[in-house]
Amino acid sequence: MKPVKTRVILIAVFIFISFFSIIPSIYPNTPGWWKAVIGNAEMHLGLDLQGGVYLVEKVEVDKAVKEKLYKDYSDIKSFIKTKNIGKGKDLTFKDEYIALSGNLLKNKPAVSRLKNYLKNHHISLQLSGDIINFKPSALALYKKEAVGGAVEVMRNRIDQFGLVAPKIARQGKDLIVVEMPGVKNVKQAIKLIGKTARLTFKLVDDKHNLMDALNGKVPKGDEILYHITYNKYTHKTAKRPYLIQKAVLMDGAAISSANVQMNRYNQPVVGVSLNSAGAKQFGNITTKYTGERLAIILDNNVISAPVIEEPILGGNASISGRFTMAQANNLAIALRSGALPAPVKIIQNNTVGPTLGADSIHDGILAAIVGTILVIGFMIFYYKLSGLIADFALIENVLFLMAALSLFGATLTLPGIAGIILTIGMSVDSNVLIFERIREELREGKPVVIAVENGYNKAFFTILDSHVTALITAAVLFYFGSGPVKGFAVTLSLGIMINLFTSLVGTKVIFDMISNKKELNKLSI
Amino acid sequence: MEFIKNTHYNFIAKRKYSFVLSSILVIFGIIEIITMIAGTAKIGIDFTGGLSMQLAFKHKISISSVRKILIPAGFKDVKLVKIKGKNDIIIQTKAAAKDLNAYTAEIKQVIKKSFEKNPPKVVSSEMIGPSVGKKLSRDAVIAIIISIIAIILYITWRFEFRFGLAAAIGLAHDVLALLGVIFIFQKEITLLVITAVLTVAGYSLTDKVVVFDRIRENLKTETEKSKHIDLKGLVNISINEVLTRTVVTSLTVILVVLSLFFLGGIVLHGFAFTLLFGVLIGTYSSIFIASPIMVILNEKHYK
Repeated sequence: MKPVKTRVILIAVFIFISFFSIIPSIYPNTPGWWKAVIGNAEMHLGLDLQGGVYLVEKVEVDKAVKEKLYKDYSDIKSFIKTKNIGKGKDLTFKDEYIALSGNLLKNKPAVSRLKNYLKNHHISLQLSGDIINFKPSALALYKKEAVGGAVEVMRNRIDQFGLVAPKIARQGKDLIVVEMPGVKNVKQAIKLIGKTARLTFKLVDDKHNLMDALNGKVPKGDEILYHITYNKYTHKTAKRPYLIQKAVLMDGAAISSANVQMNRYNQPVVGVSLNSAGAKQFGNITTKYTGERLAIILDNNVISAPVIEEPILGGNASISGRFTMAQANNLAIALRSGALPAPVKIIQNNTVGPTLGADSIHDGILAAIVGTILVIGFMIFYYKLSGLIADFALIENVLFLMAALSLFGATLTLPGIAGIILTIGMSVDSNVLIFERIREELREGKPVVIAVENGYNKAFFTILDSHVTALITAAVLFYFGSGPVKGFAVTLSLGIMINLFTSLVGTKVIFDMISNKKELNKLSI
Repeated sequence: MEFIKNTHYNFIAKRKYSFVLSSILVIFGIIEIITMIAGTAKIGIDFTGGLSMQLAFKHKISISSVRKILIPAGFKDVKLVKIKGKNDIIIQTKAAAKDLNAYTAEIKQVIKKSFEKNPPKVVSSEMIGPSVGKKLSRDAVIAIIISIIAIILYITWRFEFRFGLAAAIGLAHDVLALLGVIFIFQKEITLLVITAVLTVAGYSLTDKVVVFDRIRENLKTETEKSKHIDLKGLVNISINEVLTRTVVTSLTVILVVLSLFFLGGIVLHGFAFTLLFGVLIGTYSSIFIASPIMVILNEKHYK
């Protein structure tokens, strides 16, 4: 007699736990207490199965660095002009550094005052030789923060969609991976999270001629920006040029909140509240430039350029630009979540529509069912009743695998389903190994009970070795694979580990139960 | 039920034929690798960068009608695939150098304009920048090398170095021969195909472990009996002893891979194809390649 009680109870408990934890993943109306018992763990469908977007965005840090240097350059220029250290042309902006003129460098006291100024006001800059550039340490930190900041801003924006299990993660030096499963309006979502949303206020240059500028004679310190309108009836976009002074009077950092409001013509506008510093700054600007046109610019597009009628001192303003409701909403979200510290560029965009996902699930499940039936049928055909015992272990294997995936809150992808299907085919392999051993022992004329014991014992290390080698590749796949491949590696390695238990313990206990009941003279194998 | 009973095939004697067959496959595999490096092989956009877009048209659609629209509009290097039984067309291009965002939008617009009466819907689209592809191919190569090294180390630890070496040669053969098959059938190398190759590497090792295990076991009992060992004969007996097992385990995997191949849908097609041939090659090489090589490597040791 071999004691089987503990093993039977163990397997029964596992089967119960498995059913208990799988049900919330496949039956959406499972009661709340049930879900709570298993810690609200649930299997999620990957975006290749439920539809959605996978994006890799590259943060263009160099552009941000250049912009920051330009801003500092403007500061330093006004410093040397107001303090009479030098003239504006003594400094030249060269994208990666600021070049100093020979005249300025000869003037020793001026250089030392400049150095002092940098030390006190622009700690990240240094004067090295005849140029001013970023300190390497400051530059590295700035770049790192730019990417980290972009991740945060994107997370804020994605949270507004209310998706289940979106993912935003940094990858490598300057990449951000965004996964949005189940997102409805893909185009709008991509646009919104990638929007730099850098809001700036600049003056319209009405002193110079716009036509001359358009013909190539852009006045120094000016640029041409456009107001773009889209006509939904003719499907045409119209561009209206503006001559804008480059100097930034104020930017989006001054905004404390933004929301959509209706103006008196019942058109949506974006109302913004400024923080106290911003309100003061805005008051000064509108006082100083009353009568001129103030351009509100978002990511190099002129949204509107109203004339400043009177000083605005309250810290509240509204931006109107003939928005649709959706446009106004997006702008408000973008302004609330803050500007991206650097522009981003999409370098990978996988979009899967919900219909394709449904087709994939359908195909995957069909392939799994047919594969299972084929394997189960074959095992019974080839190993008779013993084959049936192996089939029991196979079902257990799949059941436990699904339960493990649910409890880990794993994301099921199409390659993940392929991994489950492959597990079905491989899971009986261990039993084939054991059964062939048992057959050998029986051929040598050993009694059934001993043949079974020997079969399991002799096959054990072979099975262990083969499982470890398979696990090694699965682990490597997990470590180097991306998205869907990771899903495949997870299901495969879980399947392999569970198989060790089901194919050894799960089948042996049945053999023992049978041999406990009656003297076995023949084995159906 | 037993397919194979008490076989006494002389597998080792057939090694001349198997070595010739394998050499041919391996040479094709090496050609595949060379063309991959040269950039002329069929490589999926996940490695080269590019665009793949699946459009579902409302009514019947033919590839030629789409091509007729795209070529005059300047989209010349475009591959079109029609999905059987559906009004779906997949448009693929490896326009890696261009601005892919704009390129995608342009293609969409051209098609939408030309098929106003048969409006297409974008079912899925995949746009991959060239830098992503470069990183991916580097990662894939690292993954293959690391897993092969890890497996050799494990086998060496569990058996001995000569077994490890034979398994490694067998494994290298399997990967190259599988790439050879991919070359012969001109299948596209995608991320999923590479995943399948790695899975096959793990699986075929499992197969070799079983055969080697039996060889080791028989070696142990034989060396206890006498000093002189007929290694060829012993390996032959070992292979024959585990032959049923080798065939049956492969068969169960092939059963599910076949159902994946025929029913699993277009996304998994290349993946299932690679698995199918990988399992066949892995099983074949356990018997006809890895074992004879083990004999060659061990002959001096047991004489």
